[in-house]
Amino acid sequence: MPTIVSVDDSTVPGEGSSRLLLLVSSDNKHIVVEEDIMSRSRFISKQVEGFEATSQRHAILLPFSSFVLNKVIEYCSHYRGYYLLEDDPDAAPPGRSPVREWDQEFLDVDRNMLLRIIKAAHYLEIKSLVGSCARAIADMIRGKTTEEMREILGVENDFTPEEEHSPSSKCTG
Amino acid sequence: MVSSFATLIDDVLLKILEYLDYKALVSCQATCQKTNAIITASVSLRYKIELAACGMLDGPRGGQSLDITERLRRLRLYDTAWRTLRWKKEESFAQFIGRPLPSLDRNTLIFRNVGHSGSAAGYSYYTIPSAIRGVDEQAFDLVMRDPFQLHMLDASQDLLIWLDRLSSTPETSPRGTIRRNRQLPRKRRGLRRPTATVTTSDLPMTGVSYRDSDRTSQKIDEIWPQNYRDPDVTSGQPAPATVKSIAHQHNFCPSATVEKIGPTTKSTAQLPWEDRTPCQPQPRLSSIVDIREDLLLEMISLLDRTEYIARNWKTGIVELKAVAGPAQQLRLHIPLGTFSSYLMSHPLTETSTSITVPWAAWGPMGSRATFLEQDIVPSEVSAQGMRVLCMNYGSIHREQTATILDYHPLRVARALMLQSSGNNDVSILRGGPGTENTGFETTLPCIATNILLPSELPHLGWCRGYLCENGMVIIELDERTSMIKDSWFYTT
Repeated sequence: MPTIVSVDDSTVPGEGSSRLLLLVSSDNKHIVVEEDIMSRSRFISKQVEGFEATSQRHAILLPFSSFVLNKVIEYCSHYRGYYLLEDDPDAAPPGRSPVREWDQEFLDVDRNMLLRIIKAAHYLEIKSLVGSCARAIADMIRGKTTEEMREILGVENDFTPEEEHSPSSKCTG
Repeated sequence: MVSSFATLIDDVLLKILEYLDYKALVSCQATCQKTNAIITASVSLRYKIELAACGMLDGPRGGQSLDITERLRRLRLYDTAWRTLRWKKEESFAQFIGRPLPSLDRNTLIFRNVGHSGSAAGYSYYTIPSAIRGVDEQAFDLVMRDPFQLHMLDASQDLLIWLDRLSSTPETSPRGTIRRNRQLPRKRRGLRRPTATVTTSDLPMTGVSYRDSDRTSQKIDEIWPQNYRDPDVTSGQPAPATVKSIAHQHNFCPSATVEKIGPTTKSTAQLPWEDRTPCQPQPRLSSIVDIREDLLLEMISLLDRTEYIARNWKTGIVELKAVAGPAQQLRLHIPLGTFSSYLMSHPLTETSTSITVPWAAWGPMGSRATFLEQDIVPSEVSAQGMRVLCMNYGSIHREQTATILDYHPLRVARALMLQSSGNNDVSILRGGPGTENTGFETTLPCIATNILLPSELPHLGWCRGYLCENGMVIIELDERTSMIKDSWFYTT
């Protein structure tokens, strides 16, 4: 586990008006990003607000690997400065994320990676990324049989035989 | 190690499931206990599955519409009513001799009156009673002052939809008006003439004028306020300032969603027929940019998606919402002439020409929809709603909104039955969606004495059966003529 690192604003080279954040991944990699890139993450924003209150800046420890973290940072950098409706805490939550082509390419990864990204996005509270990942996962299992879905989702059939044969959903029509 | 999606917390799993259609949901439900529990617990997912199982489309959301719990409750209520239909006794009604072939719309037989000497053409309605559903027997005539194009009734019998006559002048357009028809008599066998009025289509078709809508982040909707009077045609009054607020009362319409949009640019060009607008020059907005026409067209062709918002026949300006890249939306004001020349050279064929307007049982009573397109043909009423054809000069996607008052699963049965009436076999229902597999084919002859078994039918030419929504079956038999030879009515 990484130790807590105290960061002073002067220790990291400032660039322009944006301040820098130090993120520490679970494999103890230190990653420096500009604050306004990560402002899409509600989790990070709350942490930063905490810094303001205590006037102490710490590294933010994240429970996932640098590989995943870099991917999330790539996403946030791409949408830096863009307004995404899903991420607006004041806006009414939209039902579904809109289809964004860039996201589809960005999330063209294997299912394990997708699983990690969605977990990370949920941890960081980036709703737009969670939505896009959810859409990507849903696209993977759409049109598949139950057996294929189990394989993709990596779940075991834990129904008892009786349950399986009973009409668990009477509305299949 | 293979990671499992079952390790995701429920919230995230639910998010994923929300993107699935009902078929995938049903399969997914069978994968493991966890997904099963999530789907069962989620009202919105249950609703999605049951809605699809009943063959229905959802109504518009938001605004004053019902919330999803209430929708699910009603859906189940109707579904239960549909499943527990009991055929009780046979009853026959006097046949309507000497009238043209009736058509059945919802629970109502409709006879067209051709109009004898001195009397205007109109329709006679005969509502078929049902004890189970609490539908009273009703009869009424409707005489229209003006000729009209088409009409429909909804299932709850208190909504009359009609489309006004087509007009050939370019500044007017047909408008279908859906309104609650409270005049329909409620008392039994009451034969009255409801004082229905037909909206005249003498107003030029415009959307809500966007002269005053310089806040581009608000989507403008196109519902005509009833009291709006065109400033130029009538007395030169300016448009009332309440136009916007009136329009926003109808915010259950999908087109009325207010969206925040990203960086906004406005562009406009000079009107090709400036002389048509003698009054009120377009106010200059600070963000308006003048763009050369060819550049503008090139710009449109580069945009990912354009969406038609409004057009103003008076100023001849078409308003488009365009999406360029992620999160960037533009609002374009383009002169109509330019726009149509663009369409001529770039037909955008992928946009739909027919739209199903769902039966939105979920809207508040008395809601209405106004179609502003030039050529709208409501082509059929199906299980899923009213299908509307939009002859849209090629292309720009255009949202149609209609809000209807009631929804009924029996519509499915009727639609299925009518589909299979091509051969000589009266197939009442063969286990359509949301029904038991036994269907009515076996139960029907047992209780109805006058009915012919399907095996007896082939020698009788074609026949047509109606399954009314109150559970009654009407069968018309015909010997390859247009006359009704005989009719049987079976009631609940």
